[in-house]
Amino acid sequence: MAERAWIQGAQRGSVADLERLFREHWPRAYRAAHLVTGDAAAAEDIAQEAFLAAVRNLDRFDRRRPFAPWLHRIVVNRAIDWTRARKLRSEVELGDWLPGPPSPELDGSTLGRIGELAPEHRAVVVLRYVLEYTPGEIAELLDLPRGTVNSRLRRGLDRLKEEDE
Amino acid sequence: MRDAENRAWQVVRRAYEERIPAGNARRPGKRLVLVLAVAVGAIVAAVLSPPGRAVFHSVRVAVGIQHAEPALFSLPAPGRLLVVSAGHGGVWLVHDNGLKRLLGSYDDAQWSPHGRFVVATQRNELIALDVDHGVRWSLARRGAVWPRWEGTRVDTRIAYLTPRGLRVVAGDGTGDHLLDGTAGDVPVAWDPARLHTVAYFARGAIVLREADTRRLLWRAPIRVTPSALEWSTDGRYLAVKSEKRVIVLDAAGHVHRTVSSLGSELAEVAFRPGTHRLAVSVRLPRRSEVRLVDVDHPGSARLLFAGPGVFGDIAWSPSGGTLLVAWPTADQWVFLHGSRVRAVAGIKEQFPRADDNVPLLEFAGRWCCR
Repeated sequence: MAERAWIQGAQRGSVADLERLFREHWPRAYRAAHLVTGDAAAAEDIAQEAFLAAVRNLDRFDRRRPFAPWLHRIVVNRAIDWTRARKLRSEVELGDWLPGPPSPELDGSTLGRIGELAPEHRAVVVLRYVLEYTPGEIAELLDLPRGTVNSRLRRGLDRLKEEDE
Repeated sequence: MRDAENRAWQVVRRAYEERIPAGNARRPGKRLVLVLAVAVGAIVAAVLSPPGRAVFHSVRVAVGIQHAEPALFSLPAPGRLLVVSAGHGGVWLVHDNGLKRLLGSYDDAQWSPHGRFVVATQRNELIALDVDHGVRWSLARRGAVWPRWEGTRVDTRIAYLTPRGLRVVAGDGTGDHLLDGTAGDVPVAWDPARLHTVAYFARGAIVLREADTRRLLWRAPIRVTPSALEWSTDGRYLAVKSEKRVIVLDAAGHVHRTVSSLGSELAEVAFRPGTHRLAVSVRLPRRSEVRLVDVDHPGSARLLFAGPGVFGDIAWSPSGGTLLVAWPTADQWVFLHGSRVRAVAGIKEQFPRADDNVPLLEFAGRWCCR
C-alpha cells in the first residue's frame, strides 16, 4: 500500500514522501475542520497543526495502522475545542492564530447549515457523512460510547431535517 | 483552498526539516539558510499553537464607533505625540492633556532623545526646532528625509537620508557629513546601547556603523528588502521589517528570530519599551490584527486587537503601558492598555489639512517623553 511506503519514506527523511502523504490527506482534513468550525482560517490552522503533530510523532508512528483516523481524531477534537471556545466568548478571540484567508461561503446543501448544530453534533455528522467513518470508528476516534455517537448522529440529522422543512 | 494547502505544506515541510537529526551533513554555504529556516519554524510554531490549548490571551473586542469618544480629549499616558500628516499636510504636536497644535508645514518630524527638541524636514531643508520657541537652526539639503536623533543630553547626532546617501550632523547643526553613499531608502535606527552608532540598510545588508569614526561594526546580509528598522530599547535586538517578515537580529548582527505570517502583509512593528516584546500589525484580506510576539520566548503571539479594514501606524507610550493603533477604516485611534480599550473617533476632522484632502496620519516612534 502506497501510504505505508510514504510513511516509511518520511520516517527515513524523504520530503517527497511526506509531501505525498500531506497532499493525499490535506483536503479531507481541512474540509472536516472547516465544517466543524465554519471558519476557513481556523480550519487551515487546525488541519495544519494536525500535520505538525504528525511530523512530531512520525518516528513513533506504527506503519501498520492507517494514517487517516489518527489524523482526523486530532483534527476533529481540536475543531470542537476551537468552536466551543469561540462560542463561550462574545469577543473576537483568536489566540495564537495564524491569519488565514477569508471564509468561503458553504454551499446550500444540508451540510451547509451544519454550523447551526452544537460542535459535538457537527463533529459526528462530519465524521460519519463527510469522512465516512462508521459509528463504531467514530466512537473510538472521539473516545465516546457508541450509543452517544448514535444519539448525536440522530439528533444532528433530525435538526438538519428540521432546517430543511 | 489550494492556497491554504500550499501554505500549510510549507509550514509542515519546515517543521519536518527541523526534526531531521543534527548529524546530517550541512554544507557550510547553507548555514545561514538553515539558521533562517529554523528561525522561521520557531515563529511558525509560535503563531500556530493549537487553538484548543487554552492559549487565548488578552484579546480585545473590535471597538465600534458607537463606543468611541468623540474627540481626543487626552492621551491615556504621559508623554507627547508628534503626528505627521503625510503628503505635505504638516506636523502636529499633541500634549497628554489633549491640547494639540500644528507645528508647521513640515514633511516629517522626530523627537530629540529627551523630547526637548524636534528635528523636521521640509522640502530641501533639515530643521531643528524648539517646540515652544521655533527654529533653532536649519541646513539646506536636497531631498532630506527620515531624520532620526540620538545621544545624551549634551552630545547628540541626527542621521538623515538624502538621494546621495546617509548623512549625520551634530545636534547643534555642526559637522554635517556623508556617512555612507550606498545607504538605501530605509529609515535608519540609532543603536540605543552604543552612542552615535547607527543601523541602516545598504546593498543587501543591514549595517551597523559608528557615525563619528565611520568604523564598521558589522554587516548582516539579508534576503529581503526592509521597510523599517526598530531596536529594542536595551539595544539587544534589531527588528528588520519587510513586507512579509520581520528578521530579528541580535546586537552582533546574527539572526535571532524571524517573524512571519505566511504570506500576510506585515504593516508595522514596534518593540514595547523595556521589553523584548514586539507589536506586529498584520494586514489580512478584509481585516487587520495587532499581535505581540516575545522574541525571547516565541511560544505565543498574543492577539492584542483585531478589526475590519486597515490599521495604520502603531506606537507605544513612553512607559510601554499603552499601545496606540491607528484605524483609518473606522476613522479612529484605539488605545490598548492592559485589558482596557479606549477608542477616539473623528480623527480626520481633528487633524485637518489646509488643502481639505483626507489626512494620512503617521506617529510611529513619535510618542515621546514628557
